[in-house]
This record gives sequence, C-alpha cells and structure tokens, in this order.
Amino acid sequence: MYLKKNIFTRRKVFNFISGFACVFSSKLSFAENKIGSPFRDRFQSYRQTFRIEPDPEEAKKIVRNIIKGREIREDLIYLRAPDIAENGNTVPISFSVNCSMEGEDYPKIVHILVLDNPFPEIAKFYFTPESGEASVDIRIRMRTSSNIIVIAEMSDGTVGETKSFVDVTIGACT
Amino acid sequence: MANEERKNWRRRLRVPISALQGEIITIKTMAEHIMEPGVRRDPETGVIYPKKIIDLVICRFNGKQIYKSHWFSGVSANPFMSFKMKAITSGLVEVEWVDDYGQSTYKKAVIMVYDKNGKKIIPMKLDKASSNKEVM
Repeated sequence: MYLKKNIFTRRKVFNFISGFACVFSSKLSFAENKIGSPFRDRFQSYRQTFRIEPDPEEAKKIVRNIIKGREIREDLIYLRAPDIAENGNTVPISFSVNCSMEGEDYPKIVHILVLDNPFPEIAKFYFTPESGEASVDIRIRMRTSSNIIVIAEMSDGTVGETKSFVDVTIGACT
Repeated sequence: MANEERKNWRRRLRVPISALQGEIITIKTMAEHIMEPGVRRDPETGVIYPKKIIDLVICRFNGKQIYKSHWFSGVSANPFMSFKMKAITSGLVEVEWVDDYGQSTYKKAVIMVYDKNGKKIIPMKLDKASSNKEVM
C-alpha cells in the first residue's frame, strides 16, 4: 500500500508527461529543413545584395581590360559550339589554339566569356609548353541566346579572339 | 542531406594506360558537384542558395604543374573537362579540384610511355635506385 501511493503522486506524473512533451517539441523544431537549414541561411543577407540582372556595359569593360587595345590576330582560335542548344544548363563547347607549343609560341591564358550572363566570366585556362596542344572541351551554362567569346593571350603579347552565336531555347538561371 | 554531400565528392579521371613517346594524349576529368551559382532561389520560400562552386582545377605530371584552370559560376553542374598533354616520360598524373570553401580532392593515374622499339621510358635512373638499398 505504501509503495503504490508513492508511485502515482501528482508531481511524478506531471514530470513524466512534461518530459515527453519536451522531446516531441524539440524534434519538431529541429526537423524544419524545408524552411531553410542553417547551412542555407548563413549567407542569405549577404547574397541578396548581389545583382542578378546582366550588365552589358560591365561585360564590355571586362573584354576591354583583357585586350587592352592590342591588335587582334585572326585565325588563331578554332571554336566549336552548337548553333542551337536545347538546354542552357549544359552547352558543350570546345576550342583549340592554332600554334606550335614551342618556345614562346603558346597561349598563357585563354578566357571564355558569355556576355549576356549575369556573371560573364566563365573560365580561364593556363597552359604551359608541356601540354602538347592548347585544346579544351568543357560544358557551360547560358542564360539566353548570345555570343560566346574566346580570347587567347599568347606569351608573345599578341591577342586572338573569336565569337560564335548560340541559340538557347530553355535558359539556365545563372 | 548526407547523401547530397557524399555526391559532391565523387571524382573521375581517365588517362590512357600506355602511349608512344611524343604522342599527344587526352585527359578526361569529371567531378560530380552541384555548381550552385549563388543566384537560384527556393521556389517555396524565396531563400537564396549560397554559392558553392569548384574554383580551381590543377593538373600535375610527376609533381610539376602543367595545366591550371579557374572556374566561375558559369560552368555547368557535374563539370566535365578534357585537355591534352604531351607524353615524354612515363609517370604519375594528378588532378586536383579545389572548392569555394577551400576543400580539395584529387585523383591520380599512372601512364606508361614506350619507345619506338618497345622500351619503357622511366624518369629515374635504375642504377641509383638499386644503390639506395645499401644506404637504407
């Protein structure tokens, strides 16, 4: 009789129930991954200050800074890109620079730019004479149908440039 | 979440097993990665996904850097890239991918280069390697 009285006191029952309630509530609060886990939220306020719309003047400025008023050599770069790209998320392009990779006749840096993207720079490639041919295949993102520009800076100081227009049906959101 | 993270670390590298001396070989690389451009929003909540891309790709041959490329947010997800290399001696090809957060992964492969007579071209001298045993 004495034991039974002790087990079911009001205080003990209340503690038992409140403990369960605590566990359930904490589980619910931690499981809200849908709204945004802490990893996603960390840079949110910082990223929202970035512009998302493309700025054509800034794209031209980037090209001007690379070329710096030098004469453009023709027939230096051979660029292969599709005329029509169905999906803007993966547009396969490839280029090759027409030069013998000996002495000072090799490209130091090759830039790829898409002017209508919000961030027009896509990739830079640094070559050395050990890489026997300056040719690369890569897949890129495009927002709308626009020009792809490839600029090669040779180690002599000369510059080559080619363009090709690509039609994009479904654009990527870069 | 854990499965997504594990996918981001998978890398592939394809290098031919053998080549003739002076031949130009292609190296194909592929990284499984969500190249998050930092512009995309969650359709339900409007939260911007933070930028997470692969910045740097470095290729080294026998410890010497022969090729490097900087990537920005315009490279597509699961980025594929192939480039060329001149086979002079047989050795080790290493490709390293460096993340936006400074996390790096690498893959390596071995290539054997043969002479026209069918002789292996090895970067180190065999006499010196055998003499090292006595020292050890």
